[in-house]
Amino acid sequence: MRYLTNLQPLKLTVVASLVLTATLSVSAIAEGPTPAEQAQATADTRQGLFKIIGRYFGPIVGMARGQIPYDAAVVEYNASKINQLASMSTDLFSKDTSEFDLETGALPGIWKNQDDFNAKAATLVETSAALAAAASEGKGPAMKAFGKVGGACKGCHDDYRQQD
Amino acid sequence: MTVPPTPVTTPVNKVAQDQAHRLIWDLPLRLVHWSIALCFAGSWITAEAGFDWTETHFTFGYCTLGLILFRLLWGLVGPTHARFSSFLKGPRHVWRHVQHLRQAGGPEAPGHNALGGWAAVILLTALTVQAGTGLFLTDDIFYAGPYNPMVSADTASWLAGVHHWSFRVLQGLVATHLLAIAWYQFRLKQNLVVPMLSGKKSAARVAASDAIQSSALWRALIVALVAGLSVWLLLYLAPEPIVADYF
Repeated sequence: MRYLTNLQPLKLTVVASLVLTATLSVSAIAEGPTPAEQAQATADTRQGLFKIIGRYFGPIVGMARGQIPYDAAVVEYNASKINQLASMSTDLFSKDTSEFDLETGALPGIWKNQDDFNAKAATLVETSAALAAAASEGKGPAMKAFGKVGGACKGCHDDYRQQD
Repeated sequence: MTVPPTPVTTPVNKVAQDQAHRLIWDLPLRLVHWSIALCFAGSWITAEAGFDWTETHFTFGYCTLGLILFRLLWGLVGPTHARFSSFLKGPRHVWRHVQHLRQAGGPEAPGHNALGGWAAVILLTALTVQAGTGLFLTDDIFYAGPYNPMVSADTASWLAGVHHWSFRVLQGLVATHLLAIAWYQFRLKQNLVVPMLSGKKSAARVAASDAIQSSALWRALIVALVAGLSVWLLLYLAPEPIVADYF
Protein backbone atom coordinates (compact mmCIF):
# COMPACT_ATOMS: atom_id res chain seq x y z
CA MET A 1 0.00 0.00 0.00
CA ARG A 2 2.77 2.25 0.89
CA TYR A 3 4.76 1.61 -2.18
CA LEU A 4 1.63 2.02 -4.31
CA THR A 5 1.32 5.60 -3.15
CA ASN A 6 4.99 5.94 -3.82
CA LEU A 7 4.31 5.02 -7.42
CA GLN A 8 1.81 7.79 -7.82
CA PRO A 9 4.23 10.53 -8.87
CA LEU A 10 5.83 8.18 -11.40
CA LYS A 11 2.44 7.32 -12.90
CA LEU A 12 1.67 10.96 -13.16
CA THR A 13 4.92 11.64 -14.93
CA VAL A 14 4.25 8.85 -17.45
CA VAL A 15 0.75 10.10 -18.19
CA ALA A 16 1.91 13.68 -18.43
CA SER A 17 4.72 12.86 -20.84
CA LEU A 18 2.40 10.76 -23.01
CA VAL A 19 -0.06 13.63 -23.25
CA LEU A 20 2.73 16.05 -24.00
CA THR A 21 4.13 13.84 -26.76
CA ALA A 22 0.71 13.45 -28.33
CA THR A 23 0.08 17.19 -28.21
CA LEU A 24 3.47 17.91 -29.74
CA SER A 25 2.92 15.47 -32.57
CA VAL A 26 -0.53 16.82 -33.31
CA SER A 27 0.79 20.37 -33.37
CA ALA A 28 3.60 19.24 -35.66
CA ILE A 29 1.00 17.86 -38.07
CA ALA A 30 -1.12 20.94 -37.67
CA GLU A 31 1.85 23.08 -38.69
CA GLY A 32 1.22 22.04 -42.30
CA PRO A 33 3.71 21.46 -45.11
CA THR A 34 7.16 23.02 -44.84
CA PRO A 35 8.23 25.56 -47.49
CA ALA A 36 10.25 22.79 -49.20
CA GLU A 37 7.19 20.55 -49.28
CA GLN A 38 5.12 23.37 -50.71
CA ALA A 39 7.75 23.98 -53.34
CA GLN A 40 7.79 20.29 -54.27
CA ALA A 41 4.00 20.34 -54.52
CA THR A 42 4.30 23.32 -56.87
CA ALA A 43 6.79 21.40 -59.01
CA ASP A 44 4.45 18.39 -59.05
CA THR A 45 1.57 20.59 -60.17
CA ARG A 46 3.68 22.08 -62.97
CA GLN A 47 4.66 18.62 -64.15
CA GLY A 48 1.00 17.62 -64.04
CA LEU A 49 0.15 20.53 -66.34
CA PHE A 50 2.70 19.37 -68.90
CA LYS A 51 1.43 15.79 -68.62
CA ILE A 52 -2.05 17.01 -69.51
CA ILE A 53 -0.66 19.04 -72.40
CA GLY A 54 1.09 15.85 -73.52
CA ARG A 55 -2.21 13.98 -73.40
CA TYR A 56 -3.79 16.43 -75.87
CA PHE A 57 -0.60 16.59 -77.92
CA GLY A 58 -0.18 12.82 -78.38
CA PRO A 59 -3.01 12.07 -80.82
CA ILE A 60 -1.92 14.92 -83.13
CA VAL A 61 1.59 13.42 -83.16
CA GLY A 62 -0.03 10.09 -84.09
CA MET A 63 -1.80 11.83 -87.01
CA ALA A 64 1.40 13.54 -88.12
CA ARG A 65 3.14 10.15 -88.25
CA GLY A 66 0.20 8.68 -90.15
CA GLN A 67 -0.51 6.19 -87.38
CA ILE A 68 -4.07 7.39 -86.97
CA PRO A 69 -6.22 9.11 -89.61
CA TYR A 70 -6.38 12.88 -89.65
CA ASP A 71 -9.40 14.17 -87.74
CA ALA A 72 -9.95 17.93 -87.95
CA ALA A 73 -12.41 17.94 -85.02
CA VAL A 74 -9.92 16.21 -82.70
CA VAL A 75 -7.10 18.52 -83.76
CA GLU A 76 -9.23 21.62 -83.19
CA TYR A 77 -10.48 20.36 -79.82
CA ASN A 78 -7.07 19.23 -78.57
CA ALA A 79 -5.34 22.38 -79.81
CA SER A 80 -7.84 24.57 -77.96
CA LYS A 81 -7.23 22.54 -74.78
CA ILE A 82 -3.45 22.95 -75.23
CA ASN A 83 -4.09 26.65 -75.72
CA GLN A 84 -5.97 26.88 -72.40
CA LEU A 85 -3.40 24.80 -70.55
CA ALA A 86 -0.52 26.81 -72.02
CA SER A 87 -2.06 29.99 -70.66
CA MET A 88 -1.77 28.50 -67.14
CA SER A 89 1.93 27.74 -67.38
CA THR A 90 3.16 31.24 -66.49
CA ASP A 91 0.85 31.23 -63.43
CA LEU A 92 2.33 27.96 -62.22
CA PHE A 93 5.86 29.25 -62.72
CA SER A 94 5.23 32.61 -61.03
CA LYS A 95 6.63 31.30 -57.72
CA ASP A 96 10.40 30.95 -57.71
CA THR A 97 11.24 27.49 -56.37
CA SER A 98 14.88 27.47 -57.46
CA GLU A 99 16.22 27.78 -53.88
CA PHE A 100 14.80 24.37 -52.97
CA ASP A 101 16.34 21.03 -53.76
CA LEU A 102 13.45 19.58 -55.74
CA GLU A 103 12.77 16.72 -58.07
CA THR A 104 12.34 18.97 -61.07
CA GLY A 105 13.70 19.66 -64.51
CA ALA A 106 12.88 23.37 -64.22
CA LEU A 107 16.10 25.37 -64.50
CA PRO A 108 16.74 28.43 -62.28
CA GLY A 109 17.00 30.52 -65.46
CA ILE A 110 13.20 30.56 -65.56
CA TRP A 111 13.18 33.06 -62.68
CA LYS A 112 16.36 34.85 -63.70
CA ASN A 113 14.96 35.63 -67.16
CA GLN A 114 11.30 35.50 -66.32
CA ASP A 115 10.29 37.93 -69.09
CA ASP A 116 11.97 35.75 -71.70
CA PHE A 117 10.44 32.63 -70.16
CA ASN A 118 6.98 34.21 -70.22
CA ALA A 119 7.49 35.30 -73.83
CA LYS A 120 8.38 31.72 -74.76
CA ALA A 121 5.36 30.40 -72.90
CA ALA A 122 3.26 32.92 -74.82
CA THR A 123 4.58 31.41 -78.06
CA LEU A 124 2.87 28.14 -77.12
CA VAL A 125 -0.38 30.02 -76.47
CA GLU A 126 -0.17 31.68 -79.90
CA THR A 127 0.89 28.66 -81.93
CA SER A 128 -1.71 26.38 -80.34
CA ALA A 129 -4.43 28.94 -81.14
CA ALA A 130 -3.16 29.03 -84.72
CA LEU A 131 -3.30 25.22 -84.85
CA ALA A 132 -6.90 25.19 -83.66
CA ALA A 133 -7.72 27.69 -86.40
CA ALA A 134 -5.86 25.71 -89.08
CA ALA A 135 -7.42 22.35 -88.21
CA SER A 136 -10.36 22.78 -90.59
CA GLU A 137 -8.04 23.66 -93.50
CA GLY A 138 -6.92 20.07 -93.84
CA LYS A 139 -3.98 17.94 -92.81
CA GLY A 140 -1.28 19.83 -94.74
CA PRO A 141 -1.84 23.31 -93.24
CA ALA A 142 -2.68 21.82 -89.85
CA MET A 143 0.57 19.86 -89.65
CA LYS A 144 2.51 22.94 -90.68
CA ALA A 145 0.87 24.79 -87.79
CA PHE A 146 1.52 21.79 -85.54
CA GLY A 147 5.21 21.93 -86.39
CA LYS A 148 5.24 25.48 -85.00
CA VAL A 149 3.61 24.25 -81.78
CA GLY A 150 6.39 21.68 -81.43
CA GLY A 151 8.93 24.41 -82.16
CA ALA A 152 7.42 26.48 -79.34
CA CYS A 153 7.83 23.54 -76.94
CA LYS A 154 11.43 23.02 -77.99
CA GLY A 155 12.25 26.73 -77.90
CA CYS A 156 11.47 26.77 -74.20
CA HIS A 157 12.84 23.30 -73.36
CA ASP A 158 16.24 24.19 -74.87
CA ASP A 159 16.75 27.05 -72.45
CA TYR A 160 14.69 26.25 -69.40
CA ARG A 161 14.35 22.49 -69.12
CA GLN A 162 17.18 20.44 -67.70
CA GLN A 163 19.03 18.42 -70.33
CA ASP A 164 20.48 15.19 -69.10
CA MET B 1 39.73 15.06 -137.50
CA THR B 2 41.83 12.40 -135.95
CA VAL B 3 41.07 10.64 -132.77
CA PRO B 4 44.10 10.50 -130.48
CA PRO B 5 45.00 6.93 -129.73
CA THR B 6 43.87 5.76 -126.34
CA PRO B 7 46.85 4.88 -124.20
CA VAL B 8 46.88 1.20 -123.51
CA THR B 9 46.93 0.39 -119.84
CA THR B 10 46.72 -2.90 -118.13
CA PRO B 11 44.05 -2.61 -115.45
CA VAL B 12 45.67 -5.25 -113.29
CA ASN B 13 48.22 -3.80 -110.86
CA LYS B 14 48.00 -0.47 -112.62
CA VAL B 15 48.45 1.39 -109.37
CA ALA B 16 51.13 -0.85 -108.01
CA GLN B 17 53.15 -0.28 -111.17
CA ASP B 18 53.11 3.46 -110.59
CA GLN B 19 56.73 4.00 -109.66
CA ALA B 20 56.27 7.38 -107.99
CA HIS B 21 53.30 6.56 -105.78
CA ARG B 22 52.01 3.57 -103.91
CA LEU B 23 48.39 2.88 -103.06
CA ILE B 24 47.93 2.58 -99.28
CA TRP B 25 44.37 3.57 -98.49
CA ASP B 26 41.77 1.84 -100.66
CA LEU B 27 38.97 3.90 -102.15
CA PRO B 28 36.16 2.45 -99.96
CA LEU B 29 38.15 3.21 -96.81
CA ARG B 30 38.67 6.81 -97.92
CA LEU B 31 35.03 7.25 -98.87
CA VAL B 32 33.98 5.89 -95.48
CA HIS B 33 36.45 8.15 -93.69
CA TRP B 34 35.20 11.34 -95.36
CA SER B 35 31.57 10.26 -95.12
CA ILE B 36 31.97 9.77 -91.36
CA ALA B 37 33.49 13.26 -91.16
CA LEU B 38 30.51 14.60 -93.12
CA CYS B 39 28.03 12.78 -90.86
CA PHE B 40 29.80 14.09 -87.76
CA ALA B 41 29.57 17.69 -89.02
CA GLY B 42 26.05 17.16 -90.32
CA SER B 43 24.67 15.72 -87.11
CA TRP B 44 26.33 18.46 -85.09
CA ILE B 45 24.83 21.21 -87.26
CA THR B 46 21.38 19.62 -87.37
CA ALA B 47 21.40 19.13 -83.60
CA GLU B 48 22.04 22.86 -83.18
CA ALA B 49 19.71 23.96 -85.99
CA GLY B 50 16.52 23.18 -84.09
CA PHE B 51 13.27 21.35 -84.33
CA ASP B 52 12.82 21.29 -88.11
CA TRP B 53 16.15 19.52 -88.63
CA THR B 54 15.53 16.61 -86.28
CA GLU B 55 14.74 14.14 -89.07
CA THR B 56 17.91 15.08 -90.95
CA HIS B 57 19.80 14.57 -87.69
CA PHE B 58 18.33 11.06 -87.50
CA THR B 59 19.38 10.35 -91.10
CA PHE B 60 22.97 11.35 -90.36
CA GLY B 61 22.88 9.01 -87.36
CA TYR B 62 21.63 6.06 -89.42
CA CYS B 63 24.31 6.74 -92.04
CA THR B 64 26.94 6.84 -89.29
CA LEU B 65 25.80 3.42 -88.06
CA GLY B 66 26.04 2.00 -91.59
CA LEU B 67 29.49 3.52 -92.12
CA ILE B 68 30.77 2.16 -88.80
CA LEU B 69 29.44 -1.29 -89.66
CA PHE B 70 31.12 -1.12 -93.06
CA ARG B 71 34.40 -0.06 -91.47
CA LEU B 72 34.26 -2.92 -88.93
CA LEU B 73 33.61 -5.50 -91.64
CA TRP B 74 36.23 -3.89 -93.87
CA GLY B 75 38.64 -4.21 -90.97
CA LEU B 76 38.19 -7.97 -91.31
CA VAL B 77 38.03 -8.49 -95.07
CA GLY B 78 39.45 -5.29 -96.61
CA PRO B 79 42.90 -4.71 -98.13
CA THR B 80 45.98 -4.92 -95.87
CA HIS B 81 46.04 -1.43 -94.35
CA ALA B 82 42.30 -1.47 -93.68
CA ARG B 83 42.57 -4.64 -91.57
CA PHE B 84 42.58 -4.48 -87.80
CA SER B 85 45.06 -7.38 -87.74
CA SER B 86 47.54 -5.25 -89.67
CA PHE B 87 47.47 -2.18 -87.45
CA LEU B 88 46.40 -3.14 -83.92
CA LYS B 89 49.67 -3.52 -82.02
CA GLY B 90 50.57 -4.17 -78.40
CA PRO B 91 51.53 -1.52 -75.84
CA ARG B 92 55.25 -1.93 -76.50
CA HIS B 93 54.80 -0.93 -80.14
CA VAL B 94 52.62 1.98 -79.12
CA TRP B 95 55.23 3.20 -76.63
CA ARG B 96 57.98 2.88 -79.22
CA HIS B 97 55.93 5.01 -81.60
CA VAL B 98 55.28 7.60 -78.91
CA GLN B 99 59.04 7.94 -78.47
CA HIS B 100 59.36 8.76 -82.18
CA LEU B 101 56.78 11.54 -81.89
CA ARG B 102 59.29 14.12 -80.67
CA GLN B 103 61.05 14.79 -83.95
CA ALA B 104 61.09 14.01 -87.65
CA GLY B 105 63.17 11.19 -89.02
CA GLY B 106 61.58 8.25 -87.24
CA PRO B 107 60.18 5.31 -89.17
CA GLU B 108 56.87 5.92 -90.96
CA ALA B 109 54.23 3.20 -90.97
CA PRO B 110 52.71 2.70 -94.42
CA GLY B 111 49.16 2.63 -93.02
CA HIS B 112 48.07 3.33 -89.45
CA ASN B 113 50.98 3.55 -87.04
CA ALA B 114 50.78 1.78 -83.67
CA LEU B 115 49.22 4.83 -82.03
CA GLY B 116 46.97 5.87 -84.93
CA GLY B 117 45.48 2.39 -85.14
CA TRP B 118 44.18 2.63 -81.61
CA ALA B 119 43.05 6.19 -82.22
CA ALA B 120 40.87 4.88 -85.06
CA VAL B 121 39.40 2.20 -82.79
CA ILE B 122 38.67 4.75 -80.06
CA LEU B 123 37.02 7.11 -82.56
CA LEU B 124 34.89 4.28 -83.95
CA THR B 125 33.87 3.22 -80.44
CA ALA B 126 32.85 6.77 -79.50
CA LEU B 127 30.89 7.09 -82.75
CA THR B 128 29.12 3.80 -82.04
CA VAL B 129 28.09 4.98 -78.58
CA GLN B 130 26.99 8.31 -80.05
CA ALA B 131 24.86 6.91 -82.86
CA GLY B 132 23.70 3.87 -80.88
CA THR B 133 22.29 5.83 -77.94
CA GLY B 134 20.50 8.14 -80.38
CA LEU B 135 18.21 5.27 -81.39
CA PHE B 136 16.60 5.30 -77.93
CA LEU B 137 16.08 9.02 -77.34
CA THR B 138 13.06 11.28 -77.53
CA ASP B 139 12.61 15.04 -77.49
CA ASP B 140 9.40 14.56 -75.46
CA ILE B 141 7.58 16.58 -78.11
CA PHE B 142 7.37 15.01 -81.51
CA TYR B 143 10.42 13.03 -82.48
CA ALA B 144 11.71 9.82 -81.02
CA GLY B 145 14.45 7.46 -82.09
CA PRO B 146 13.14 4.18 -83.55
CA TYR B 147 13.94 2.17 -80.43
CA ASN B 148 12.63 4.69 -77.89
CA PRO B 149 9.40 2.70 -77.29
CA MET B 150 11.52 -0.24 -76.08
CA VAL B 151 12.97 1.57 -73.07
CA SER B 152 11.44 3.29 -70.06
CA ALA B 153 11.38 7.08 -69.83
CA ASP B 154 14.10 6.92 -67.15
CA THR B 155 16.35 4.77 -69.30
CA ALA B 156 15.78 7.05 -72.30
CA SER B 157 16.65 10.04 -70.17
CA TRP B 158 19.83 8.33 -68.92
CA LEU B 159 20.79 7.43 -72.49
CA ALA B 160 20.17 11.05 -73.49
CA GLY B 161 22.76 11.99 -70.89
CA VAL B 162 25.20 9.52 -72.44
CA HIS B 163 24.40 10.91 -75.92
CA HIS B 164 25.19 14.46 -74.81
CA TRP B 165 28.34 13.50 -72.92
CA SER B 166 29.70 11.22 -75.60
CA PHE B 167 29.34 14.08 -78.05
CA ARG B 168 31.66 16.16 -75.90
CA VAL B 169 34.09 13.25 -75.79
CA LEU B 170 33.78 12.94 -79.57
CA GLN B 171 34.47 16.65 -80.03
CA GLY B 172 37.61 16.22 -77.93
CA LEU B 173 38.66 13.17 -79.95
CA VAL B 174 38.11 14.95 -83.28
CA ALA B 175 40.10 17.94 -82.02
CA THR B 176 42.90 15.56 -80.95
CA HIS B 177 42.73 13.88 -84.36
CA LEU B 178 43.14 17.25 -86.14
CA LEU B 179 45.93 18.36 -83.79
CA ALA B 180 47.74 15.06 -84.37
CA ILE B 181 47.52 15.59 -88.15
CA ALA B 182 48.99 19.09 -87.69
CA TRP B 183 51.75 17.65 -85.47
CA TYR B 184 52.69 15.02 -88.06
CA GLN B 185 52.62 17.69 -90.77
CA PHE B 186 54.67 20.40 -89.13
CA ARG B 187 56.81 18.55 -86.60
CA LEU B 188 57.34 15.15 -88.18
CA LYS B 189 57.06 16.37 -91.80
CA GLN B 190 54.58 13.64 -92.67
CA ASN B 191 51.55 14.68 -94.69
CA LEU B 192 48.61 12.48 -93.74
CA VAL B 193 45.84 14.47 -95.43
CA VAL B 194 46.82 13.99 -99.08
CA PRO B 195 47.14 10.19 -98.76
CA MET B 196 43.66 10.09 -97.18
CA LEU B 197 42.38 11.95 -100.27
CA SER B 198 44.36 10.26 -103.05
CA GLY B 199 45.01 6.99 -101.27
CA LYS B 200 48.68 7.22 -102.25
CA LYS B 201 51.98 7.91 -100.58
CA SER B 202 55.20 8.62 -102.46
CA ALA B 203 57.66 5.81 -103.09
CA ALA B 204 60.11 7.65 -100.89
CA ARG B 205 57.82 7.09 -97.91
CA VAL B 206 56.56 3.58 -98.57
CA ALA B 207 58.24 0.39 -99.73
CA ALA B 208 56.85 -1.26 -102.86
CA SER B 209 55.96 -4.36 -100.87
CA ASP B 210 53.64 -2.31 -98.64
CA ALA B 211 51.48 -1.06 -101.50
CA ILE B 212 48.07 -2.66 -101.83
CA GLN B 213 47.20 -4.16 -105.19
CA SER B 214 43.70 -2.75 -105.58
CA SER B 215 40.80 -1.13 -103.77
CA ALA B 216 38.85 -4.42 -103.87
CA LEU B 217 35.79 -2.57 -105.14
CA TRP B 218 33.65 -5.65 -105.78
CA ARG B 219 34.26 -6.91 -102.28
CA ALA B 220 33.51 -3.41 -101.01
CA LEU B 221 30.21 -3.41 -102.86
CA ILE B 222 29.16 -6.64 -101.14
CA VAL B 223 30.25 -5.36 -97.73
CA ALA B 224 28.41 -2.08 -98.38
CA LEU B 225 25.26 -4.03 -99.25
CA VAL B 226 25.56 -6.06 -96.05
CA ALA B 227 26.08 -2.91 -93.96
CA GLY B 228 23.27 -1.02 -95.69
CA LEU B 229 20.83 -3.91 -95.40
CA SER B 230 21.68 -4.32 -91.73
CA VAL B 231 20.83 -0.70 -90.97
CA TRP B 232 17.68 -0.96 -93.07
CA LEU B 233 16.69 -4.09 -91.14
CA LEU B 234 17.44 -2.34 -87.84
CA LEU B 235 15.02 0.44 -88.78
CA TYR B 236 12.48 -1.94 -90.34
CA LEU B 237 12.33 -4.08 -87.19
CA ALA B 238 11.91 -1.06 -84.91
CA PRO B 239 8.73 -1.15 -82.81
CA GLU B 240 5.78 1.02 -83.81
CA PRO B 241 5.80 4.24 -81.77
CA ILE B 242 3.09 4.51 -79.13
CA VAL B 243 0.37 7.10 -79.64
CA ALA B 244 0.33 8.93 -76.30
CA ASP B 245 -3.40 9.53 -75.84
CA TYR B 246 -3.62 8.46 -72.21
CA PHE B 247 -3.41 10.43 -69.01
